[in-house]
Amino acid sequence: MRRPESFLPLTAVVFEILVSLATGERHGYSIMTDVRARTGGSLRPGSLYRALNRLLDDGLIEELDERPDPDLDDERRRYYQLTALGRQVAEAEASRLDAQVRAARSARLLTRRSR
Amino acid sequence: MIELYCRLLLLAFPRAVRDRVGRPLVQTMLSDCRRANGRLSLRGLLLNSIDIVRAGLGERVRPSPQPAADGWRHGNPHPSLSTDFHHARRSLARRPVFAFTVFATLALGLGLNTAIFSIVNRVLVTELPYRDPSRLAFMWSKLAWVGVPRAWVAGPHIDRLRREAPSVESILPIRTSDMALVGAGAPDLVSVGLTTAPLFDVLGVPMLHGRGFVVADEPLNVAILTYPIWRQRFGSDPGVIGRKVELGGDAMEIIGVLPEDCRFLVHSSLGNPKPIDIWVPTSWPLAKMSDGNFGFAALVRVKPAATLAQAQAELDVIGARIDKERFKSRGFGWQLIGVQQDLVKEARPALLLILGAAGVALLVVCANVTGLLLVRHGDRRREFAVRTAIGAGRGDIVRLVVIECLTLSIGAGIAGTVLAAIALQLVVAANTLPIPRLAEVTIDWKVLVFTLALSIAAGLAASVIPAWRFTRTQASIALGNAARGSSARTGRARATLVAAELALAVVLVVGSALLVRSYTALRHADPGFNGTGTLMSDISLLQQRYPQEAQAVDFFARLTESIRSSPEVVAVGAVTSAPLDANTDQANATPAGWVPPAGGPNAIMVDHLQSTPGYFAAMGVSMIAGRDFAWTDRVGGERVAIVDETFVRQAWPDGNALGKRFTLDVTKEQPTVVVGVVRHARQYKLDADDRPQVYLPYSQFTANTQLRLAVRTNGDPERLTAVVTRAVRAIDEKQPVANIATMQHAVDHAVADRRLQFEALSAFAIGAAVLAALGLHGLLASLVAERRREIGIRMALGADRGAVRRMIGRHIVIVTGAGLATGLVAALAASRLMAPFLYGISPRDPIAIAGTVVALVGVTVVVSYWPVRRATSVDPADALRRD
Repeated sequence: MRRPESFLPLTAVVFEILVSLATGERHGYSIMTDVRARTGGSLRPGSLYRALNRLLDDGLIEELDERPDPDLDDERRRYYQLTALGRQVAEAEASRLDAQVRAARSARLLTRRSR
Repeated sequence: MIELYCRLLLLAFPRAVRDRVGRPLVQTMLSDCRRANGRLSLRGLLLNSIDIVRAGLGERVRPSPQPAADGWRHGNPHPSLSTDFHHARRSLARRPVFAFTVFATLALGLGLNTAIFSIVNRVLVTELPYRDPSRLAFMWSKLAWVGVPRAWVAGPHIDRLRREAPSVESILPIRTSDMALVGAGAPDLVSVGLTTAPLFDVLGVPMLHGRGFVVADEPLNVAILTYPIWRQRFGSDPGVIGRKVELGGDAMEIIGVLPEDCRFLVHSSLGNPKPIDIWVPTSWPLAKMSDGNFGFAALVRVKPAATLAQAQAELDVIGARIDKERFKSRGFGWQLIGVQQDLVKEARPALLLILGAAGVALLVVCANVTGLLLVRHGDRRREFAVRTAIGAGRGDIVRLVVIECLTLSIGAGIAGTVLAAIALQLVVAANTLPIPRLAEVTIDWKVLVFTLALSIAAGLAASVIPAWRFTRTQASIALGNAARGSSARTGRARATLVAAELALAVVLVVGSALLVRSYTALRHADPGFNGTGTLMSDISLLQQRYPQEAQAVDFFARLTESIRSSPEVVAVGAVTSAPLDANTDQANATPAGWVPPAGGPNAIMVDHLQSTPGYFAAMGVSMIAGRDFAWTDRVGGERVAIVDETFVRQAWPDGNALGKRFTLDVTKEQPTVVVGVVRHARQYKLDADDRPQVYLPYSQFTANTQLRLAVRTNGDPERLTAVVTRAVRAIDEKQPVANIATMQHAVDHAVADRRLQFEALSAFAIGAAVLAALGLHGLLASLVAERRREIGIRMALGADRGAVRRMIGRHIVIVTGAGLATGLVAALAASRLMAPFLYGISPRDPIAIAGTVVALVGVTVVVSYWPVRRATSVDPADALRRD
């Protein structure tokens, strides 16, 4: 298995998808609306599934076999969740970004507010 | 439909990706394009479409499965769409001539397809504006033994089906009649639809003003106006409700106005439907009428729980019973045809033909644009090499190429839509095209989605070869040798494209040549009459003013006498139904001593018409034998008739008909003697019809007070208008003269659909041929430019101009030969599709095919002239010095 660090740095889209899935399994449309709401960007279905396909290739996420609530759902929806590797990669990227943010802060690029 | 569109877009992705995430991707796309109110967001659809194509193509050129960076490595790692489009715009602005050429060609191609698709969409796809139109149908009688597949329906049968067919919710008899309208402007004949009360409830059409019919309305007492006549004759006045008008001599109160989009048409059994001006409720004693008189159009609505097929099955059972009881099992039955299908059945094949031809024309446009892009990207090889050298991946360059082309094609799609909207407005306003529902044509969201999809498809189709070719070009080679690179391969690709354009052009040119030849054949075919110089008009006598048959006969005798005395008039006469009216009564004729063919009908079904003396001369129908009618053929005298050659052939195969006798069911089987034989004048269509015709003298058989007046002159028939109206007014001031038009106009109208077909196809064919010629010219010009040095060397080494000419000539022959040959094969393969549109010629008509080859070879020679001349005028010293 590849080391989590070998995937870094992640592209913004990939990282946002992993963050979205960190809180639990989601289907594609839910990931898209979550990322849009969090980043204010406009992630679109084509780019989303292109990234999801690569994440599946690399074993960072996997498809759920069972639906959380089959009665409520359209059968065409697929649910995705993080694999153990995916979580490690996301954590590694987060701490990498965190280090960068700390560096930026110490260079007084960020003023301290809440934290 | 949108789902299908999304699936098409998915083709941008490699197959493996499509298989894995295709379905959820479509699902997400669909959810994302719906607004909160459930309607489609076109902007979302557009942006998502571009994103899918971008992501899919990016995935295709991804070198290996590793998490590669997504964008320009030397800049913003996540270029947004707007960045891409910004690049594209800037890059296109640097080459305005190229950009404009591509844009204009695509805009014309896309606009053409948008306009035609709008018509097809409205005419063939959009449902009629009735409640649940899929459960509405017209019902036709099949009378197999007289060879009539679509006759109207008999009154007693309607009555019986109301009681016996459980799936039928309602069945309405409808008749049409022309009546004089008095009390709204000048007296005029209007087309009146007569039906029993609940017609508009059955259709499910609410009134624009006033109310619909109710059962309590007395027959022939109230009237409903259709939108066009309300606007034209009543000035769109909402206060018209409650007003009294005189219609066909009866006073009627206007109770309602139909909305604009309700254009309910009653189909005639043959020919084109005629719009109704005014609807009037009436009642008929259906059960007591003759069951051999098929006198009603019948509108059927099936119950919500039933389908048309179920209703048809019930009709088949009841029809078989009637066939056995009443028609000696000779093949009586009924057929239900959905109202929409019934309305468009004549126009449908032609519309699909034109749509297909427009699609072929768009392919030529795409091939042409691809050729232009190849040239342009050849010029840009150095730019691409530089971009690659500073870190752009192959995917980045491909994306640049594709986005540039998409920018152009989507922009062209928008411009094309505007062009289409303008063109449609003109077409609808002119209202001369023989297409039903034309006035309803608009550009709706379905058309917009179609155009968007087509724009994207055209952009992708045009850019895929240039993009693919780029990925095959090694960047280092391009940098080192940017000027030449792989121009030979580009040349081959362009030559293939030009050959393809020529092939497609051949298909269109052959198709249009066939239609032109067929149209010419039809115009030269002898329809049995000669309408040149004949003016037609309708005269409908009011029953109240001419209650006695003898009064009507007297009126027409005086009228024709008075018109004939005018010096410019050559002949004048009147008839119940003129050629191409597609509207006559039928009767069963039994010749004396006639032996019916074994197993065949026991009478000859004929069209029976009544005419006045002089009619045949006025209509240009030749008398073959005997005499014309005379006003002395009176009631009480011997019953006489003039029959056509078709009737003679069937009744008296020896050809001798004069003095023979026959009986007609409509004259209560009284013996009638043949006094004349005339040519068969085509009654329904110019191309074919052969139902025998029997003419009775109007002075002996006066069933009708509405006649069509035919007046012939040696000069311009339009000038007779004043003569006719003056003569009518002199006899009866209040008598309207309606539908004044030349017979030539009726002939033109009868071929209008074929005319539209050949004009549309010819326009596309000329456009395609011009594009192919431009493509060939461009190819040869750049070939000569590229080979200038080679030509110079050859000439310096002693090659003469003939050798140079042969060198270029070989290219021309290969490209055009391949194009023409492929095109001819395709045209021959497609000729079966053309057969239904042709009259009098074979779909493999040698003249049309040879003409196409000669024309296109001629075009090739013309466009090759200048490049060849330039090649042979190369100065060897100059060519060598330059390099």
